[in-house]
Amino acid sequence: MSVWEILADALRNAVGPGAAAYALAAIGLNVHYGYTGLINFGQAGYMMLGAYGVAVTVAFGGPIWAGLLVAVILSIVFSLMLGIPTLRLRGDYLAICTIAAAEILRLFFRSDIAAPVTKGVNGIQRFADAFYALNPIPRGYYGVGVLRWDESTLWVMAWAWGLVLMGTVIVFGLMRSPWGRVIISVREDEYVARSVGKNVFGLKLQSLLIGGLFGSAAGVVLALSQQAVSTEAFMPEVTFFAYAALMLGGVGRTWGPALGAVVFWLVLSAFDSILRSGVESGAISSDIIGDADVGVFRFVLVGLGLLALVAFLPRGILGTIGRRA
Amino acid sequence: MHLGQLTPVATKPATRADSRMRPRSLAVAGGIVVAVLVAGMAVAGVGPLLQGLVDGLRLGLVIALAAIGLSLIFSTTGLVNFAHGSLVTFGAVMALYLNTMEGGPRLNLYLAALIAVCLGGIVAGFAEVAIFGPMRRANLPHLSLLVATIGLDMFGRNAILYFVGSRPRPFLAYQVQERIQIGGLSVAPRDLVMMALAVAALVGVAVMLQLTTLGRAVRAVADNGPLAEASGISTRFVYIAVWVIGGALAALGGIFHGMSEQVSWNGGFLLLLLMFAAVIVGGIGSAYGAMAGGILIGVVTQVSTLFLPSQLKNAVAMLVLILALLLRPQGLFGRKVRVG
Amino acid sequence: MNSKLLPAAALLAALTLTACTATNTPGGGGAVKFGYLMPETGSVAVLGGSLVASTRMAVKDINEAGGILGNKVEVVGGDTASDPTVAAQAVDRLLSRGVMAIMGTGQSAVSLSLLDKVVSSRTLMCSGADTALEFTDYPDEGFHYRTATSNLLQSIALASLMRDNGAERVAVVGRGDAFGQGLVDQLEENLGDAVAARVIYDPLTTSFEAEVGKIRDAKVDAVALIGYAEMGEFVQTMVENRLTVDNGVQLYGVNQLASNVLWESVDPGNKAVLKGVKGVTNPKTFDAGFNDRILAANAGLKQALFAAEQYDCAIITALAATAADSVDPSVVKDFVADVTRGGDECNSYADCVAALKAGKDIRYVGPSGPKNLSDAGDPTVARFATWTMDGASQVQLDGEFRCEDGTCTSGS
Repeated sequence: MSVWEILADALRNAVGPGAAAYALAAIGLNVHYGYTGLINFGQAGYMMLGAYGVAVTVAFGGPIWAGLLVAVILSIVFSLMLGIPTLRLRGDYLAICTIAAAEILRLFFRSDIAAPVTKGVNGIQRFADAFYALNPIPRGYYGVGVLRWDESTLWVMAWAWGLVLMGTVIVFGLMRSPWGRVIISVREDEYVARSVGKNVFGLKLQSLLIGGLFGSAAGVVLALSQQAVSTEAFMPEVTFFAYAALMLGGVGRTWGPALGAVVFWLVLSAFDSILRSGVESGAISSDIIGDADVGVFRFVLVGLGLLALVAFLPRGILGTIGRRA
Repeated sequence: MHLGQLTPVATKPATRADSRMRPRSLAVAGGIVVAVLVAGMAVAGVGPLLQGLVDGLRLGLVIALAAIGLSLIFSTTGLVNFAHGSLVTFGAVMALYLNTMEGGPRLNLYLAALIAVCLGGIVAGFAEVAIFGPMRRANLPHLSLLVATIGLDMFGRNAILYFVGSRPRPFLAYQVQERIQIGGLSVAPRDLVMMALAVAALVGVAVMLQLTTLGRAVRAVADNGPLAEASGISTRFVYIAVWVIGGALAALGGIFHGMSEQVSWNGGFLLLLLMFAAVIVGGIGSAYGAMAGGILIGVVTQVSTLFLPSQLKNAVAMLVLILALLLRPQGLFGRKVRVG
Repeated sequence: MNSKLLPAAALLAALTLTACTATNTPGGGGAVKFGYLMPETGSVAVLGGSLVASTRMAVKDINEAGGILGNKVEVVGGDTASDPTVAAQAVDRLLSRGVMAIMGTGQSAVSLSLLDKVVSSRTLMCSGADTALEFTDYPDEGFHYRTATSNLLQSIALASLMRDNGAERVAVVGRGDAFGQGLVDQLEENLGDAVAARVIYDPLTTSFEAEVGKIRDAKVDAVALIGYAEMGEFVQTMVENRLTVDNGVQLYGVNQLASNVLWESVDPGNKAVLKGVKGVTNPKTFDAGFNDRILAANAGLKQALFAAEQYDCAIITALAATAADSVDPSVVKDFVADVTRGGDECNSYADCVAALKAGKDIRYVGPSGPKNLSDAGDPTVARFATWTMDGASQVQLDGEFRCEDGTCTSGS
């Protein structure tokens, strides 16, 4: 693999639908944690609801727009069910509660009980045809050299990044509004906010709802781009990756989520490609890293990367180079 | 003074409201447990229920051992250690290496276990000294430390995967034993030994906490860090100590788990959420609580397989966790803590 | 205020509007790329090693015989990690490289999750080890084909074996995914009333007490077990509960159970623990000639699982391209079934290419035996070897089934 191919791989993944999905999830987490101070470790649950919402609806014969509607409704219901009882918990307790709730949801979707609707462990495929049928881009490959996409991927990417752009602008507007200022005050000091008569609980719930919708959108993007959904794609790690993306970009900053997601995927793909080409070309001895170990090594590096991230770049990229929001 | 509480503070309820609270939420908790047991019996019969209780007790003791460390670390340092699962797996894998792997010393299982437990403690202590201690002193935001534990977990799990491979492996001894039949129950001899050893370890920890200087220091820091520091206790030393103890106990739990369910690279991670549930249900900061919580969670999850698909086992534990947080956040044995 | 928006948008615009190549032909001239998507890591990593080795060996043979239409074949690798999510990312990478065909994935569930994507990118895909039924009728426009026999035939063979050995009350146990559940369903159909218990276990479960308990309660005399590496622990739990061959419970399995190292996962202290276990498997797994060759060429490889089938996948693809005189997948796909049926038999890539050059109609029969692929890309003939484990828990072949068009008969 040449250097150009490595870079191209990394860049391609960094602007692909996967990165866009994580950007959306991170935008949601930014609303939750960056602006409101809520630690939601169950974002993977929202993503799963979005993905399955679309997949199940279409698999049962509904049109795509119905699928999107279902994704939205499920997200709202989950927010209410999760938020009303638990939002009075603080910090770590909320974190544990949300991760538990997401896991319950995931295990339930995976079980035989839910299988008639969710197909249990098998997951759902073959639901994205209607979406791709709407694609106006003519068949072909577009791009430069190895950095290219086919018309289907471009179609998904257009929607995905369009959503990211829209989401970023919406959040930007929200946080500059009076509502946003109150939310930030809740993050800063909940008791002061309460003491001047703000309905802190209600505000937190609204924040959870909004951030959750972004999580659900992320799931929809993942489902449509991969054309398959399975519960194994929504383990707790996914939430942690989204947090990594957010923290990398900069918590509480407008472009933090999008930038963080892109850089995260860039770095991850670069690791993968460099390792793989090193092994293939023999530069790295296959005694240390065989063909089979590249995938594992990537996660090892992600783990180390996270540690390095919190130690050396605690305010993220934007936080370090920019001024305070 | 309650044996289970880590604080010598008076245990009289602070207000009448508190004392009214206790019976009600205990009743709810008790009601849930009874409901699960009755459902199990109704669907499967008394025999399978008793078998489920025994299997649940075994699982519960493993969770309890691992959960003590989690509880101690949280109550003293305030950190929820997402890497605890890796510590569990690490202990099991170290023992596996010493016991069975080619190129390894092929030691007797007891000796391998002993060494693995020590290694577990050392590695955990190292994590505190090299990573979390410095981060805490640099006043990083709380989420950063949480994410650091997550990063450490990801690194640890995958490093283990790299070295050990994905195939679950058994220890060289005591793996396949014919079950002993007692009445309608069937139990493997090694499980009886394991359970006895686990109980002994738990009792040992309780004794350590109540009767030794270190134990008192740990309880003091858990109760009120700055006050303990002011009265001359080195919180830094206590932090390291709880990590070492936690790591050693987690390793022991991992080895026991590996004996009944083979050693796999993500065995500890699968237990992590169960450990969280055990700690919350039992009461954060209480050794007795972690034990009781672990056993409770183990029994409830195992018995639930009698009337629910076994895939939902963990989901049941998660449900109990959430209910506990909502109804009785201080758990069974914890002090009333502020959770909201 | 936010000046980052403009450059990002410009970059995206530049990339999407640069329709430099509106061509459908992947890999412009000179080299043809074969991609592979195999479980290099994860729960079926054991299989992955064998599949990758055989694919590379096939490409080597192809290149030594002059490549495809004069073009050298390059291999582009990808790891599925035995997981659909990781596989999804890997397939993106392969597709962007412009691979003509993807070899893989070794797990029916993973392959199914990728199929739509591969088809919509108009790339060929060949499986040497995916046996689920779903592939037979899957609307893949002919882009997907396989050299592994579907569960349908395998279940008929296994059911025959079990009946021949006197199984009367059977427990059918399978892993909860497309492969295991599919085969279990088929076995139930073929065994009919003899099935006393049906158990599907969660692939991620760590303890099999509940499942083994059900088998114990059903008082069966035979157990068919369908899974991957986790079967080691399952059998261990069975042994602890006295559900062994010596105690009158005959264990049966298919390829994955026919592992010479399985006993280590059951009871490393007892080499004879799996004595007497029976089953069916692909005969060529133990074919001396091909086996020796591939094991000799790959130091770390312990078993050649499905290697012959995967090897044939690559060869058939190359032959189809040669016959089509094109490397465009949309054209090549129509020639795939043809080169495996009707015409003169030839047994190696070099021989077959020579025959094609001479204008003949060929029928490739490689190390995994005759395929006679249907138009849907499924083998219509199959041979299975029956096996029994000896006193050292090693697999010994002791019989054969020949299957064609839906029926299997016992061979010698």
